[in-house]
Amino acid sequence: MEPLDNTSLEESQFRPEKKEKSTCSICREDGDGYHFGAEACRACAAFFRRSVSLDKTYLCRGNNDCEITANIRCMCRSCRFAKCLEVGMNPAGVQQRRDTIGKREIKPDSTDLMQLLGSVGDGYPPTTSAQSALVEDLHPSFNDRMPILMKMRVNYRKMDNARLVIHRKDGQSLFKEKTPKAVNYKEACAQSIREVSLVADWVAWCFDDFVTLPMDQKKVLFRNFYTPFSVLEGAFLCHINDTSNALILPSGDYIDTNNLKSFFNIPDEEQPMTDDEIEKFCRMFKPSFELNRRGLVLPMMAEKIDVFEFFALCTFVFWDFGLDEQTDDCMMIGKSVKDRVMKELAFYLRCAKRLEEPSLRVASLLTLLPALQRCVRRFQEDIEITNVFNVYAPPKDFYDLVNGKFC
Amino acid sequence: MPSPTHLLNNFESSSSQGPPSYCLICCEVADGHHFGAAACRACAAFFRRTVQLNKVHDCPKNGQCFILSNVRNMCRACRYEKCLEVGMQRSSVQQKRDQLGRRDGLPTNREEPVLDTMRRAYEKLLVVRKKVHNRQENQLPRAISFNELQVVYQNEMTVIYQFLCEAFPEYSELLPDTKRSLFKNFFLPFTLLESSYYGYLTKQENVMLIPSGDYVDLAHLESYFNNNHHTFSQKDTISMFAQQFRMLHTSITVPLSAENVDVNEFLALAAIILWESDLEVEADRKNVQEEAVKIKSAIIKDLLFHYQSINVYADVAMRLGAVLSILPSIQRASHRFHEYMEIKNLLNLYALPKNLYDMFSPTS
Repeated sequence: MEPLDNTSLEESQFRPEKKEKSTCSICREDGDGYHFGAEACRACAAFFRRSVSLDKTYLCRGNNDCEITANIRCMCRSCRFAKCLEVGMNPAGVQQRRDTIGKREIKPDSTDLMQLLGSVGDGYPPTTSAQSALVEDLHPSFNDRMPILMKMRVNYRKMDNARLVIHRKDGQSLFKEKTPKAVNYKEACAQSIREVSLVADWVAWCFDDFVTLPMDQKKVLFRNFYTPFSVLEGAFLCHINDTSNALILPSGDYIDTNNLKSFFNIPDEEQPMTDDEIEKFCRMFKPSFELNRRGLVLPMMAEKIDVFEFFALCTFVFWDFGLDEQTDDCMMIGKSVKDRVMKELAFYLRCAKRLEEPSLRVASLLTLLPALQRCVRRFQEDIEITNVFNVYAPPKDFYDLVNGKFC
Repeated sequence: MPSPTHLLNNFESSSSQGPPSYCLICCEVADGHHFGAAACRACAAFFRRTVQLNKVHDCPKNGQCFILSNVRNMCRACRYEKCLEVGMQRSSVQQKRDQLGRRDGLPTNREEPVLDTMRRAYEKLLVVRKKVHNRQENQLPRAISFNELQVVYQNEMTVIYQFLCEAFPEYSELLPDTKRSLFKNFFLPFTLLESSYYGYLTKQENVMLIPSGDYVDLAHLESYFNNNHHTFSQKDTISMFAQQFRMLHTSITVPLSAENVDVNEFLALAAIILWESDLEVEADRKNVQEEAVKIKSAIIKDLLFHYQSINVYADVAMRLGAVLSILPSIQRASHRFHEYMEIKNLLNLYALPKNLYDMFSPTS
């Protein structure tokens, strides 16, 4: 779509006559050009756009066969909308985020994630409206062409709802909004361990092919996936909350990377670390948080990665290949799933984000994967170091979790 | 509706009377001759994009849409047909200028696409290697030992460095420390990628091809691990390190083969490995970051243009995704290969010389 300025031009003896008026294919009024895939007047185009953007549903008080012409007063909206679709108008063509219909409230059913992460501590600004576009839902008309990504979206919201329950502290009300807080490493480990079953369920809900795999192959894939997913999601949560100086956890709490002392300091510890020890660990692990920030968080912010692009990345991380003990069948299935998701992503980039050249965007996304791998490896090395020093040894199950030795 | 002939006659007579002339396609004020016809900048850009990107436009009506600058949403199919009708030539479009980027009018300090420069440098590399590795004409490949492999890769350090400087003028202008860091991050993954690439091209599974033209015989590692060691027997050594080479095949050769990667894609992967690497030292990062983003972007655009010109892939985004998704696998293989090298170094069991080991050790 290449809209041109609709400015009127001066008359000239060399110019042909003004264009012949077309007819609106919906109401027979004078046409205003092509809109959303059909010849339409400005009024019908605006009507269609409002109906789609605002997700309106109309009910015909007659027999769904009302006459639609411009000279009918108060023409039936249900039949008018049906006729728009009939003559070829496509809901996917409506640009959901344009402000021509004024600022829109965030839809209630897409605020789960935003509510959960709405504000992170006092020092962090609330999410701007621009960022909320990154996690906005798509119109249901996209379901046919993006089944896997749309399923990931639906089930990700389910997982977020489950997180509200599973990360709730004892005695904390289910219905009171949770206040994010800075956590220490023990709390972070505990949350990560609780996450495993949720992520496993999410994966099973999203990929039908996964459910059909033999159990040993499921384990191979999931063990390889969990730690990279945690790192990737952490970076994505930082990005959508416009926060690069904290590491946001799925529970909504965060690790304050500007003040790592709060991460290593545990008040009621049996053998609390001395200030010197805490200082040493802060210095030792600060570069890892820095790597995570510049390798993942900042590039995601620069590219404004949105939630569907995040899901595509998750798919590529999950269906990895060349793993020890991975069968050829498993690799082939993975390749097939990735091809399908890539096709869905290309469609999404063309028709929803309306990029002229989606390939450039695909390249930006996929070059995040090597950076993710570096961050994961660094994280695993850090856990290895803490395990060896045994000063603040992580729980064995967390250590096994990070290194893919669980299930 | 005025006939095209009528329009043409009118504007031909008008252009003979001197400026201003009008775009023969949309009747806007013309911006001079473009691709063989008087055209405005917008129609010229539209035509150029259509040709460069090999776009095919469909007309939702019957191919007789009105083409005027004041028509909202000009039909692209009819606009393109009218471009051809008034005399624009596809062959006049210069394919390699500006690639897919926006024309910003800034002079480029590069005269040819990154991928082309890289390819020439690589072809030269292949020639130089014959001299450096003392390869005779028609010399048959043979299985080599660890000691011989060391010598080959010692020489490769110089050869690959030269290749990088010629492939990327931007690289040769960096500070020495920065160049060294980038090189260390690049050398091992590139070595493994290249070996795997030729393994896939030549369909050989049980060998690891090396730049001198010889190979490591993976089915008979006795020929490779042929030194005596005071602690470990040859059998022990082989059982310890055979997995190292098997992993290489699974992680890199198999995906290259599955995707049928061509030489341009191989070079693009190598370029991204170099410029995508993370640098620990802040001063290094500042030097490289801006340049790296530009070069990576240019590489992708060159690759897209390559896909357009061979016209094999219906969806280039899909193809690009499949090729780039091999990157993490190369990285993982490289990391594990390095772990094996560390073990050997610790045990002093087929350890590399210090300078070679150092260059094979990525900084991040």
